[in-house]
Amino acid sequence: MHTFELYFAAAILAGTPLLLAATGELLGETVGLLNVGIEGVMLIGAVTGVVVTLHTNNAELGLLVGALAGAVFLLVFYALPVVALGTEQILPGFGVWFVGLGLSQLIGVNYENTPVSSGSTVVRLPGIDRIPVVKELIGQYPWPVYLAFVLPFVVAWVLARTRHGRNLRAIGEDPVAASAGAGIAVRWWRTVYVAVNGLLGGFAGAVLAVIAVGEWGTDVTAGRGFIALAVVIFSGWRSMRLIVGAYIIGALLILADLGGALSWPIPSEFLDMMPYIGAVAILTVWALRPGRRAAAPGSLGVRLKYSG
Amino acid sequence: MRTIDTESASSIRERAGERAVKLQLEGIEKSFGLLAAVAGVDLDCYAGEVHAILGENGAGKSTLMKIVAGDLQPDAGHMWLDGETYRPASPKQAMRRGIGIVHQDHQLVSRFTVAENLFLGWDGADRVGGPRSLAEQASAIVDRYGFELDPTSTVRDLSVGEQQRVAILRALVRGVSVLILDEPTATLTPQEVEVLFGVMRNLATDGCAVLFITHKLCEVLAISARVTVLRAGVRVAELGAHECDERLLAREMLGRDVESPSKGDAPPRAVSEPILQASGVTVRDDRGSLAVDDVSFEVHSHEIVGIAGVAGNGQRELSEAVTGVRRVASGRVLVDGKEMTGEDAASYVRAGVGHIPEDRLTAGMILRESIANNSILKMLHVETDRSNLTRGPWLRRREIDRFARQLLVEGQVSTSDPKVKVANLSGGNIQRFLVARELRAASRLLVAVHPTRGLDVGAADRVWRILLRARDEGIAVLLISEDLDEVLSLSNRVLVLSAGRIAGELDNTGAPPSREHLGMLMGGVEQEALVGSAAALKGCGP
Amino acid sequence: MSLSLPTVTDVHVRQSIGVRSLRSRWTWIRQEPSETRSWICRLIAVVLALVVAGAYLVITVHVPDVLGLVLRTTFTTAPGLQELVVLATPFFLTAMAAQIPLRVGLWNVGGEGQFFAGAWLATAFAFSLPHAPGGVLIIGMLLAGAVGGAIWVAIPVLVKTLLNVNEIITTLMLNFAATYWIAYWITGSWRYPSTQGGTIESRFMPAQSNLPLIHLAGGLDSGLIIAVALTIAVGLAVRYSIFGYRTLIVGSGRAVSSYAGVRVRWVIALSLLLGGALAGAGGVLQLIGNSHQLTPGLSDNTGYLGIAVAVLAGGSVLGVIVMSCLLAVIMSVGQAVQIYGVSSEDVFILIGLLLLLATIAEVVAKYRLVRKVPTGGTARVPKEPVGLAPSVSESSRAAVAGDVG
Repeated sequence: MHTFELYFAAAILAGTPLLLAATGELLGETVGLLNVGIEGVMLIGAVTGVVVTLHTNNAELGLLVGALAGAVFLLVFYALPVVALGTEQILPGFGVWFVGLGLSQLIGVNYENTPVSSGSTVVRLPGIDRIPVVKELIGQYPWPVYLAFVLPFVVAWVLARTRHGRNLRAIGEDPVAASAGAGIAVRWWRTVYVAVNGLLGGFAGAVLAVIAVGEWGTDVTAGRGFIALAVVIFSGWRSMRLIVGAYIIGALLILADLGGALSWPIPSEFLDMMPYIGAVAILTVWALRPGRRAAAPGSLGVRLKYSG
Repeated sequence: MRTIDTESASSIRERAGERAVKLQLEGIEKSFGLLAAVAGVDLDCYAGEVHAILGENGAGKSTLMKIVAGDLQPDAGHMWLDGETYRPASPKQAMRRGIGIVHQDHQLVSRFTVAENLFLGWDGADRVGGPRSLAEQASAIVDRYGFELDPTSTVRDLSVGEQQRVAILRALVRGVSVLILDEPTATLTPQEVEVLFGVMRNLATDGCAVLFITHKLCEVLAISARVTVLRAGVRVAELGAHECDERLLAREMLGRDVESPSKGDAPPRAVSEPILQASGVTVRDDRGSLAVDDVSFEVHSHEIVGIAGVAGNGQRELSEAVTGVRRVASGRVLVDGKEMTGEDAASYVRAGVGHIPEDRLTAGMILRESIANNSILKMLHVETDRSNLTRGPWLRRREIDRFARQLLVEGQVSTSDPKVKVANLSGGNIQRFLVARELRAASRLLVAVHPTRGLDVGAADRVWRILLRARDEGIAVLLISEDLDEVLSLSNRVLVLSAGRIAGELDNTGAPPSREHLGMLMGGVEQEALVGSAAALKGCGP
Repeated sequence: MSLSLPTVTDVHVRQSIGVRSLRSRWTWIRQEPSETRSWICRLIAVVLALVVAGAYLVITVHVPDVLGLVLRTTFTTAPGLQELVVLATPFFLTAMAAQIPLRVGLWNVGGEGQFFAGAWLATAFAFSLPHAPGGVLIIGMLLAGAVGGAIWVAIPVLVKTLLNVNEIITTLMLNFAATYWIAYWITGSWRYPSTQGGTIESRFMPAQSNLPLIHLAGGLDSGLIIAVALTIAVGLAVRYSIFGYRTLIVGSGRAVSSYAGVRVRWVIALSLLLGGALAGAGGVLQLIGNSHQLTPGLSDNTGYLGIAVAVLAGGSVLGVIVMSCLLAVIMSVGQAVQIYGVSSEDVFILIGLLLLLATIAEVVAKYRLVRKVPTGGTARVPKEPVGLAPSVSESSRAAVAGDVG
């Protein structure tokens, strides 16, 4: 296989956890909830995914349990304070991050750097898997890669063209109008979408550890949760643009490997920095676009007072 | 615990013999903390009639209606709808039972289209469908009810009257049998009020029970068949509209005879100097669209100039432009003959401009901070105060406390402790403290925006007196208010702002200008077009 | 025509519910809490989190005598105390680095990166002037560290003030960049020649830059004294200066700021730069006071833990000092229980719990349970009371279910 095809595939694989996590976060932010703690959710998903896979030898089960763990984790540590008790949103996000960091350590301490032997099922797209170059570029990935790619399209369709999507956008725009004016069950749907955010975040972490990296290691996410946040902002809350952002950063994430393989005369540390610099860069690029302010959901990050 | 009074039960039965009680409330109580917003209210509302709920700010009208609409849960009491127990746990349940509410601020999603708002949270539209199919379904509904609305336009681009129609239509399409209108006339022109009253009459004719919340006496008499008067959370009277007049209603509402504010005895000085001069001022709003369009006017010392108009016609932007909070896009602003165009709020403070802002709780005050910290919000810009309150880059806390105490005395605030947090003061106290602070800054000009909004009559009266005293002391006062009575009773001259332009200027020193005239101007009819035309609309006189 | 009358039984049913009569006697009022009150609530949160952690150690890890362990490892022995001091020192400045921007409503999550950047520039300074006298070197390194930290936050400041780019993400991303930046230097020209095995460190700092030990209570690190002095000085300066007052205005929102005529961008920039500088100085203190080598483990998550300290401390300097010490105790206990198989990063669970409980405590602090005045079930409060919630009209407006505050 040629270097280009190899690294193209690696970039797609590296971008996939970002894309999944960003899609989850975008849904959460659509209903007005800014969760800065995806990093913690991904770590929890990653460690449970690896542990379950190692014990059952079933990567699919590992991914599923990782996703569910992410959902439960976020419900307890984020939905409880923010949605149920009406606290502000940033601090619980940091709480989620810290607890995720510590808890994943605790769970994974005996599994560190144990390679996951059974990868996830690679799906070969029928038809395409016979065309020479295209096959390697887009034809043979583990199934979560395809899922991650399709999901933003589904989300875009649901948000733009269905009654449910409209209600969700209304909750994020103006929760008071959605509740008192239109009779939408704001708290319920917010809780549901915290769970969805956690589900996708946990799944993203599990995909990262079980498939992309192939083992659990301390802080395996290395800031990817925060990069996913940047990708959401970069998308301007349009889910299909998440794909662009996630794969750009995905390409930057494998730059150090690429530089090493092609023996570029650049120190590998500088290449390692690139995804993080890139995240700052895509935020800046987004901010330079005119009309950006209109993009964010109206009540994003705004604390709600409940009473009555 | 309240028990049933057999006499009232029999009287209900007696009335029931005549007509069906649609909605019945008994002993409804609701408190927020120690404050009883609603303290045991009974209400009978009949199908096919407009029932007014009258009361001044804070009387508990809105709270009561929010309970009926499922927005709030009562602490005690019972409700019946069509004779069946009615206890909605959420707005959605209330809507299912046929109770619709049009909130004072309409509760529409402003960035959504009319069609999207109509179908929001309601299963009347297809589960799946793009904007076009939604608009088609919406326009069918709009046509059926004979409303004039474009389903594809975005709500925030609509006038207040149109937004209200969207909110009413949203309630109607869900099949209401009881429609609650919370202060629907507050932000409408007199002409739009007439249109609304027409809609309300039609609804009542169709058998709908309409609950109409207001604090305006004349409107009660104009539209409703029955009036419930609330005072301090208690029902003080239930009257047939035919058996009462404004005077009686006012006494019931306030618990005493009304004493309307007057411009006072001191007539404005004949010769006065211009303090604020605005020429060709154009201002853009937060979204970048034109909010104030080529406006020119002057405010002189010893006078109050009132700016009347329906909210959202550029008042906010204009007030911010002449206080330095917002930049003017073009045109000039002069204070005391000094060029102020493009200066920030700090320079305006230095020039002697005080500003009572529209959002006094979010812009004018830091609620979670102490009175002391709020007292110097702008004073550090004024050289004399700054030298007194600071030394070099440091604050002199003791001096600041003393300064704050002075303001508390001047504002007659009910505390003298500058360490109290502003959030823990009542609305009236906060406003008086703010007015005192801004009067300190306003050595030349005071810009007062909705200075009495949300205050009860007593508190409003004190603010009015302060404004009049400031005028008598020679300060130029620019009063921006959506309350026409307030503008007419305080100002020497009235400017009408409509769609960001000054539609007309009226002298208010002698006989007050006619409301019809003002209403036409507020509705956007230019003054020239009005000359000679006899406005035949019926309105309420001040 | 149907009309059902409220029957007497209906009323009796309602009366018989005991909960309701209880609810009618007691009620919650919402009030902006006093400093003391929010402190008490936060301390309760801390105690709760510690109890959870202690219970975990006893039940799951089978640490026999947690309290004794805490006392043994920290307070009662001189080495314990000394270790505590070493652990607490870096928290003061990284906490201030987060706390000052928090006054403006900004999250400086980049303390970790700024800490390293400061240490890096100070190292560069020291290596370029290896023979300078100790005093010059120490002061020069501290200043270089402040500049380095400020430089590291400069890009987030720039994009925040000019383009309003979210500072949480930008400051955090630069932490990772800093890690690699340090790695580049200590694996390259600064590398300690005889390092064996996996660990990579820089050469030692010039010996005269080492902070002296002050012989008090078995050896007190003079770095601590510098850190505490700096913290108190900056804290008081912010509290009693016009700049500090302006941070408070800007932190209260854009509406107040433009109303009060405050130049928001300057205040934002200054507070973040000041925070970065403090974190950078913190890095230098760790460098010359403790490790004397630039290493990847120089910070040991100090930058992140500083955020937690700042949050738990609220707005006060005293809070920073108290919470830094508390965190040091937690860390030293964390180290002591490592023999039971607890890893040092597990402490993040506790920190996360602390943050969550503190957030909840902040909400809880606003509510007080009070007894209603027994006049016919509901109390009428005198008009316009002081020290109570806003008047009916406002409180009812604020109390709309789901009101945006």
